[in-house]
Amino acid sequence: MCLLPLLVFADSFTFSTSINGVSGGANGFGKGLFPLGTSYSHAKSFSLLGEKFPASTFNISIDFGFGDNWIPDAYTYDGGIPYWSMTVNERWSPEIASSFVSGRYFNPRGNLYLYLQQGFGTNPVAKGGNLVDIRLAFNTKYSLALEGNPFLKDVNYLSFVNPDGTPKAPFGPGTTLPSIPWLQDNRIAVNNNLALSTYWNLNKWTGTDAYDGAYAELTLEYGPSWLANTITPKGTISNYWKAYAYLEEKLTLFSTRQENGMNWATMYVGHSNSYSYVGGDVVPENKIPGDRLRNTFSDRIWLHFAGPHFIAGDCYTYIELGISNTVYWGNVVNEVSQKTKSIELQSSLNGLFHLRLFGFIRFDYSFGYVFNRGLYAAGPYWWQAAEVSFYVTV
Amino acid sequence: MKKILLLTILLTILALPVFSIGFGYHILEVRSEPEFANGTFPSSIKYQFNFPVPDFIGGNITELTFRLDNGLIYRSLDQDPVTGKYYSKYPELLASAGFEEGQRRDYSVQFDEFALIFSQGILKTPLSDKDLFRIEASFGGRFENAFERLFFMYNEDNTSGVFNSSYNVPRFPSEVWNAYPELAKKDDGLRSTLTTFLNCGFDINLLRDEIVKKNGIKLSAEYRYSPKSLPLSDGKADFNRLTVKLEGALTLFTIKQSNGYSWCSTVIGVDVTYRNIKGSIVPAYATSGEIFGIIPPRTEQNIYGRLYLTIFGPQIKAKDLYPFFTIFNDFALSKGRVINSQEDEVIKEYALSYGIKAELVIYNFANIFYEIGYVYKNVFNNSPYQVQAKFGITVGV
Repeated sequence: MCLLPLLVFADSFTFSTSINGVSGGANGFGKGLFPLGTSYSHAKSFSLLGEKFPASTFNISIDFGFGDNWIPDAYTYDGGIPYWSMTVNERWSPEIASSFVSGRYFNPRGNLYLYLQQGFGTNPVAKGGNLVDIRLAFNTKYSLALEGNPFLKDVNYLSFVNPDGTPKAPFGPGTTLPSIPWLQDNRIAVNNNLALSTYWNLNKWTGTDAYDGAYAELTLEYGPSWLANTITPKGTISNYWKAYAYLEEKLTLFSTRQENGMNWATMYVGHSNSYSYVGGDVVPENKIPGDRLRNTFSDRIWLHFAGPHFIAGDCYTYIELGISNTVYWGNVVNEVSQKTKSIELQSSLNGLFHLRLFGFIRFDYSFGYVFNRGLYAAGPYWWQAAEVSFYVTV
Repeated sequence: MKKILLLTILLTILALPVFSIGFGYHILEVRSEPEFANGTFPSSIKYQFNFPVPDFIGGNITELTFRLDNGLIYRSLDQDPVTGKYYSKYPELLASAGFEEGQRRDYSVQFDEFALIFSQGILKTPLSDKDLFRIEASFGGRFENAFERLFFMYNEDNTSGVFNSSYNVPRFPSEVWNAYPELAKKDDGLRSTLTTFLNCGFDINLLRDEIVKKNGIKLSAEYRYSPKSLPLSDGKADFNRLTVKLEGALTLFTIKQSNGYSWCSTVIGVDVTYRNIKGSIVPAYATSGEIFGIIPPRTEQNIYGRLYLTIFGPQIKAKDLYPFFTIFNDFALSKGRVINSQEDEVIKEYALSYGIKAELVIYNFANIFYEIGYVYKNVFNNSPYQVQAKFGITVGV
């Protein structure tokens, strides 16, 4: 209601829905053609600090999805000890072996994200636009873990209850599962967090998706137990904080236009680094870092080639090829004793082909070759995925 | 093959030359279910985008729209699947199906419906802010997958569902779902259906809708053709449906503020819909249409609607921040052969309900409402329902 006396400059709506697993084929939901979920958002610009400052933006985004999920089976449910930290004998000892659970379940979920963003200063490289944007955000995630609903044939599974409805250990009312807190007690999980982010723009636009210069982000997230996070009789499902830093540099190699001003070809090379640390004794599902190790540092270098615009300014294709290296190290989140420490490296080559039609239909085909999978010592492998999404900004 | 056909249709139409008319986008409906986040998060949404197309007739609007409706909703098993008889008329059938006293018969349906709609306006009138006459044609499809309601098998108190009386024990012989053809279990174990349809319609618009003021009449008609033989259909729908809707409204008075926004206004109106369905296989989604508090029995002919009086409060410093308060009376008449009835049962029943609804619209992105009402005349000689109240917040409308 404090927004009442403000001027409204412009409205915008972003709408997107994505279809996952089109390459999964006819066995997926809706024959692989229809979306499992939708996200939509609404942004409103207004002047918060008066005319001397750039316009502020208030944005609200909602998404919901109804799909399946898996119980993480690489960690003991009570201690959160990863199986890769144990010897083979330890893993198969009677006390430990019964502490691993696995299964698939139906996971209806909803997410609400709202933020207020204000820009300051002028980008000195582009001689226009904001130098820094500050964003204060609030995020809520609602998630249910329920008995399975088969989307694929021949799947009929009960992960949390027995056929007569009695709880299947270790799940059920009044239970605590420090490793997987979103599956404890009645398995209705609500977790909230606040975030404060700053974005630094020291770049200028040189062509389709291309920039020269640097861009940085610093974010602090805070999701303490008292922020209306679900608290069950035996414990909370969220008590974490996260610090994240990102730095990116881009250099445009060439950018040529057609006679009508639309893009002919643009290529840039980009390099980025990011670091994040997840602290806190209870980390919710959507904030768990890779392989549950607290520190993550990554380095990525990539080449991006944007092809000619056809028909209109928002119809084009691009190809991106990159190599990324990520190091994870430190303690294991959601491990009760905090005794296990590890370090691992993951390296991969990634490629992406993107086709965009009127900005509205976006088709992505991506593939990758993982050289080194870190803790999971299986050999290198290829992967591929395709996605179609409908995306409209008005 | 089918996937390629669908994408090809979409991509061919997109290859139109682009003009200066931009995209439009509208969220038409956001729905929630009480068992998903207590109704505070949306569980399904209907939205559409308009493609940029030139106006074929100068001064009248031509639109090419893609509409998508997807998410999860609850439906209720109201008819006996084998005979098509209504449980509220023949309660003894509930016991023979193994349903316990007062047991909920809700089940979940996850669905996706798309439609590609072409519409053209003809002639203009000062009585409306839209074109006087508009014709529309569309092609669409709908995929649905049904399963037990979200909290089925949640604990020992509810292990009995609609499709299964207990774990892996089907309640009805799975081949016989005459009343709900879309719920028959297929070889792959799913209760799913994919059907396509063709629609055409027109409307005559003499209604001017200015948010807090509404005056005029609008008549719209739509004919849906959904035979078994359309491409991509799986044979679980074979029906034709005619829907005619009449909306009328009159603004009794408005009082304006000094800045041009409205202080208070009152509108009375009536919405009536007539729906006629002919067909041997009619899925549940074809007959949606409900009044406050009750879903009228599905019959070949249904008339339902609402009489209302709405008082709009002040527009607070913006066009889209205002409260309003509605008093309504809903009516529904079901006449003719019961849909999918195996015995060609013919009924004539009506239901009436009334209530009030208070709503606050916040900058067109959120809507908070409280609704309370009472079904005072129920169908099949059943007693009137208890008072029902509902509180909701929808975001993103």
